[in-house]
Amino acid sequence: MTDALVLEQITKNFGAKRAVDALSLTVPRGSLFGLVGPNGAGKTTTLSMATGLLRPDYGRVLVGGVDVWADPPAAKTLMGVLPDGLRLFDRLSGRELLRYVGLLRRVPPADIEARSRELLDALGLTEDADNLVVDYSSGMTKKIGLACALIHAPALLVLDEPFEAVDPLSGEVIRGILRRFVAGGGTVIFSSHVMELVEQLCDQLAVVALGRVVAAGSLDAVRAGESLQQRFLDLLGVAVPSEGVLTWLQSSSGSN
Amino acid sequence: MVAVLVGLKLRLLRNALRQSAWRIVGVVLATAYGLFLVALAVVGMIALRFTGVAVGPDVVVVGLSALTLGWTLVPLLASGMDDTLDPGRFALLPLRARELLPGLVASSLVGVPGVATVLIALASVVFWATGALPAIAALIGAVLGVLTSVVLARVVTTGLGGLMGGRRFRDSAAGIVAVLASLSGVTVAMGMEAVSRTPNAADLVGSLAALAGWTPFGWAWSLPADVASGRWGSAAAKLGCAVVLVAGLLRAWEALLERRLTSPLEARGGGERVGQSGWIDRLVGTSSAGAVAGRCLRYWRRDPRYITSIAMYLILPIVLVVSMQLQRRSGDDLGAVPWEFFGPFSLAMLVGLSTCQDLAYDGTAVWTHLTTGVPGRADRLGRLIALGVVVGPLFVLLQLAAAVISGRWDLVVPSTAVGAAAGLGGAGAASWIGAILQSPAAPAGANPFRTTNGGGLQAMIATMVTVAASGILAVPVLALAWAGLDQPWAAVAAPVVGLGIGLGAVTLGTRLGGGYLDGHWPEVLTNVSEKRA
Ligand SMILES: Nc1ncnc2c1ncn2[C@@H]1O[C@H](COP(=O)(O)OP(=O)(O)OP(=O)(O)O)[C@@H](O)[C@H]1O
Ligand SMILES: [Mg+2]
Repeated sequence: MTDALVLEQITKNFGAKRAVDALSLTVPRGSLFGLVGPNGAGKTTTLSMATGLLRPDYGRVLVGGVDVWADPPAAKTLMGVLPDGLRLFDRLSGRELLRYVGLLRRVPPADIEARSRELLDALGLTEDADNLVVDYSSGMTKKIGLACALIHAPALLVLDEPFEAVDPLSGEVIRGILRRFVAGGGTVIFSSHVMELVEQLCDQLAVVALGRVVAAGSLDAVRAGESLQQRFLDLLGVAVPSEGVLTWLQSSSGSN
Repeated sequence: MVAVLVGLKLRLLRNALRQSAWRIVGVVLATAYGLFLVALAVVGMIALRFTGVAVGPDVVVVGLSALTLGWTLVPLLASGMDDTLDPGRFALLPLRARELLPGLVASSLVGVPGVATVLIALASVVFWATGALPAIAALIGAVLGVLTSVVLARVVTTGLGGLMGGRRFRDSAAGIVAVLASLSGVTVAMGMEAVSRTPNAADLVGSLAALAGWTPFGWAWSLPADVASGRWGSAAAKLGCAVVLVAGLLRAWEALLERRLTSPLEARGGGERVGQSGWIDRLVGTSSAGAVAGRCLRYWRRDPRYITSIAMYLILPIVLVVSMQLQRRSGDDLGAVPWEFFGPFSLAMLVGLSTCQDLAYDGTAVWTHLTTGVPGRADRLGRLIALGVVVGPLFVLLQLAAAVISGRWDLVVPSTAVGAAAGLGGAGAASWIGAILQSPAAPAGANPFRTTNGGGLQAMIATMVTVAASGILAVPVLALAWAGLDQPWAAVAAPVVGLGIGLGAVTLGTRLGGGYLDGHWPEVLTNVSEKRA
């Protein structure tokens, strides 16, 4: 059985800065894969290269055995994507945006209609379905983006921080959707900063820092008996500011 | 604060230069162009001074007034306003508008246009310095003139931009443009009348200078002229007007700044609910190209930037029609050429421009096209279909208006043939060049007159290629149409060739542009991101 997503030695430089450094990763089919790492570790850059949004300087990306950069259209039909920090066509209403993405994905119009209704309903967006996306809150924008990634029933979901700014209720709904998606034979890779969430949801994960994989594998193997939070801190050797630093912050109520 | 802001602007410009070779080329070109203009102005003024030509002072007043007018018009019509120091960014700092104002004025002068203007103003002081009093008046005039230029441009772009982002503008845009264009039509007609009455060039410059001196653009600049020729009353009046103008403009800018500092967020959609617009979906169908066309059509209605483009397309035709109509009324003989038909032609020449900007206007939202794997050709074609649905009826309307007003129904077919070659030709060329060259554009809610930090050279090249292609492709059809006025074979050939050229250009442009997109989507996404490597 081919793996859902394979990254081979992908590398990206921004000028003199190496954002992703010969990173290799395998996401087995049917897994719920978490990607964690500190800010600026290269998660967004990695996922952009995996989804065909950013051309790698070096390396190969295989989605279900199809090379993303050799045969983009074939690979792209397999993926549903939620990028981070990119705009949506936000002068469309939520419903229109879903229909637009569905048509571009060549989903039959009748299916688009039915799926949109279910997705909007599940994500609690029915009320706002006819409002322009530009007027959505950031959590609502994440949710409509997620709906767009799901509309063509992809085999692989690539989500960059899907839980950011999403309320606890919708978060639970999204977790339910992802679990059901995986139970139905799909594969998910997503990035997140919330360790509890990753621990609870994922069966596989990778920790990246400075554009490299620091640890990867099944959840239990990476955790090595600790909590994921603790293990993360250990792996990255994070220094908490000691006493005597930043003391001036305490006087913020008075003068400066 | 002045030093801080000027330093900040210099540093931002330098960092922008480091980011991309395009910007370096852009700055080099702008500098060369600015230097050329400055050299021309300085040499010209010095030559005029020492040869003592009688029209010298008039020429200088007209030129400098035109410079100030240009400061306001060029950002509105072409380049947009440099917004490196967007005051909205200072919103979280405990600063008042009044504290920022001097620094923002000073930093507006940092940059090629600012420096060039200051140099030209200084040269004008040399020109007038034939005595102590004119020299002092020229110095005062120069300071006031430079301030007027900079601040007027800011106030107009910020004020209009704020208006145009809003919903109210969107719903009344057509009316506003029609009124403004008709007014300029009246002005053009009056100007042409004045020109036809004035026998020689020197007199014409003289009356232009007199006219310019009494407009807000010329109050400051004509001050030394009045002083030099001893018209004390008029000099005092102009000094008063110029000072009041600058003070009023500064107050206005302060008020606009104050508003920007307290509500720095971009205008959004305005909380409206949209209807289902089912007719659009039925019109364009469910193919990929149809889906793109449907999305674009909604944007033509909802995005202020597209609405502004429609307004721009219509200004010239309306001006033409109104001024021609007035001329006819006043019984002037305009010769055999019915200029009204230039209206639909000018629309056809301009339609490609929005297609050049399309991807930039989408901004990073084009990631949707990347990940859905939509064929580049469908993207190109869909945008052209939407353009056709919007502009096609306007073109027909202008043709009919031209025919009705001039009474020359025999010209409708040849004029449509020329328009088809120019319009479809430009659209095809834009589909190709727009796929290759993009620079980031200000997002929909932002001031449409804003340019993003230094970019724009790519957009300028794409624009020039598109307009050139429109013009070149129209030439053979124009020749045929002309010949067709007395040669029946040419009259038949013109529409066939016009349509053939137009459709050929569209086919070729969408194919080449689409193919290019298929291979370069990620680069397009990088190009339109404001954050770029
Ligand atoms: N377009 C760009 N130009 C230059 N540098 C970039 C660009 N995009 C990312 N970088 C740099 O690459 C590195 C990785 O960035 P990336 O966005 O992938 O991090 P991330 O892991 O997603 O971080 P976060 O958790 O904050 O989202 C960062 O150091 C960033 O500064
Ligand atoms: Mg990120």
